[in-house]
Amino acid sequence: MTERHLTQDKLEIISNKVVGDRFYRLTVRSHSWAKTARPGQFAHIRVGTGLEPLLRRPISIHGLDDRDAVAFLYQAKGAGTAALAAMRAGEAVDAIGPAGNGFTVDARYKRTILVGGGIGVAPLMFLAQAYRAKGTAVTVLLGARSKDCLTCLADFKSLGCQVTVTTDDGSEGHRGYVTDILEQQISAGPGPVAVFACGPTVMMRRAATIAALYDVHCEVSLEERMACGIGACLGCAVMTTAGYRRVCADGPVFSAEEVVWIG
Amino acid sequence: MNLDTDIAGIKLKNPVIMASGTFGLDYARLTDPARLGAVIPKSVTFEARSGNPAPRVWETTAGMLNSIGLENRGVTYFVEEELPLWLSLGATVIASIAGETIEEFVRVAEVLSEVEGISGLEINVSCPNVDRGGIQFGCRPRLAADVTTAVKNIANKPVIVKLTPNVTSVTEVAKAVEAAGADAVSLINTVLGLAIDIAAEKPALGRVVGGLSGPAIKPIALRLVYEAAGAVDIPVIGLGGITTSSDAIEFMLAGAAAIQIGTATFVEPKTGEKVVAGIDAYLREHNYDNVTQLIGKARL
Repeated sequence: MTERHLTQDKLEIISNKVVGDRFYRLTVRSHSWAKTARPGQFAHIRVGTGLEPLLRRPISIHGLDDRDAVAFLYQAKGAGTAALAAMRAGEAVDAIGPAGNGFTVDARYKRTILVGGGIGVAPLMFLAQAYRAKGTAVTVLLGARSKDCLTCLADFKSLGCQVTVTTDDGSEGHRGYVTDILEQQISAGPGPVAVFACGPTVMMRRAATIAALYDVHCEVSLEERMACGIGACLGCAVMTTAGYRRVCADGPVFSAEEVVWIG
Repeated sequence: MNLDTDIAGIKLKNPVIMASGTFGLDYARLTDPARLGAVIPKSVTFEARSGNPAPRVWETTAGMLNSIGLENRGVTYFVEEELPLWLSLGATVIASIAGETIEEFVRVAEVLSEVEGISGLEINVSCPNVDRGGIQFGCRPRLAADVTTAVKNIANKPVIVKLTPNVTSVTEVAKAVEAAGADAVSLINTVLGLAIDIAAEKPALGRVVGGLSGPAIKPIALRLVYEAAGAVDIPVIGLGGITTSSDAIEFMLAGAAAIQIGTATFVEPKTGEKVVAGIDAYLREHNYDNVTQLIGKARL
């Protein structure tokens, strides 16, 4: 693991726009974040200046727009993210990070399959950027409740990713779950192949099971309620084969085989 | 401005202490521990403990609930791996001790007494998130006193006893540990609370109940600090919801000789440094020359 660059900064907002059903794309100006951030990392963002909501919110780094601009993607689903959604270009967000470990980016993989469900697509764009920059083939399997909940399709396509969509209601792409098509995608081409998943726990667990069946490397980005965001409070612990580990500091990305799935 | 603080022989450069369980080594990347009065790392038990099932934290109105369950890697790891890093950062370290039995408290205190660089011990008899040894000791004056006596017998440094607010009479417990030899008390630990996740229609925390912290508990903490400071002659360290230097000054005016900051660090990592600067500015503005002049000044 390389040394992490963790700082607290006031990041100037370039834009903060709705891009789908309650999905927002926030871009900020920061050369140092753009230089040091790795796919899978997040920013721990203070969403207001008062004491309510109190805690910072972990927001996934979505990608780099250029060498000085970092994008985030989030869904406004509570008071904290709603407050973030109300912020405007020219204002500054107080962010700690880039936090967390990040996905493996390794040129030895001939193909990568990114499995995203709902807002779980957020960190996968950055990962797709990194693998495409290495010339690796990237297949993106996107799952959502319905057509309105799909976002980033065009962005993945413009990176040269092969994109397949599933929706729970069949309003776009295949009707069913995104993991239904993972198996055929793993066997559809040459190896070595790696699977990276971020989304609902059931989806990641299913992706992990399928990857294990084919003996394919799989990493998942876990989510847990978080307080400090930098490893101090032990609030975001998840059970792994090595005991409890912290999503914020030991993760959020874990090798699928070390995760002890609960429930 | 003189911010020097002496808590029963523990010399601090200012009265601002980082509370146990809230200030980890990673914060040294964002704030300078050497500028703070002291740091109290996460409580240590004799053996490693794995802690409680998730979810362990839940945000509430101007506060948060936690149920960590004293997860830590044990006293040996603390002494060999963590303490040297704190000391190399220039921090003044007070070690927090937890245990399931009086014997465990003593064994941990024994190990810590042999170590150079620890300025004092804080006995955590107020954790609400474990089945044995936490609040179970702190709620009973007699048991709290027994733990205090046992640790005092072995410890070669000042002993602070951290009290719980989840009692009918905090003065009774404070007086009991003072009589048992405590050199100071700190209060409050978290307030027992509950949240329900309505999306799941289940308790929000894995262990159902948890400890409430943050700005929401400040008036409760202040009242208990005021009462404790009136009941004992040993120094009282105040904590519970302190977020600004004004909050810290309130606690000192109520009778606290020093204060601790916990949850506020999660919100703003530099809270400790900002509170130090704010106290300094307040003293200048009001023509004090020594921070100790604030202690208990608002008491009637």
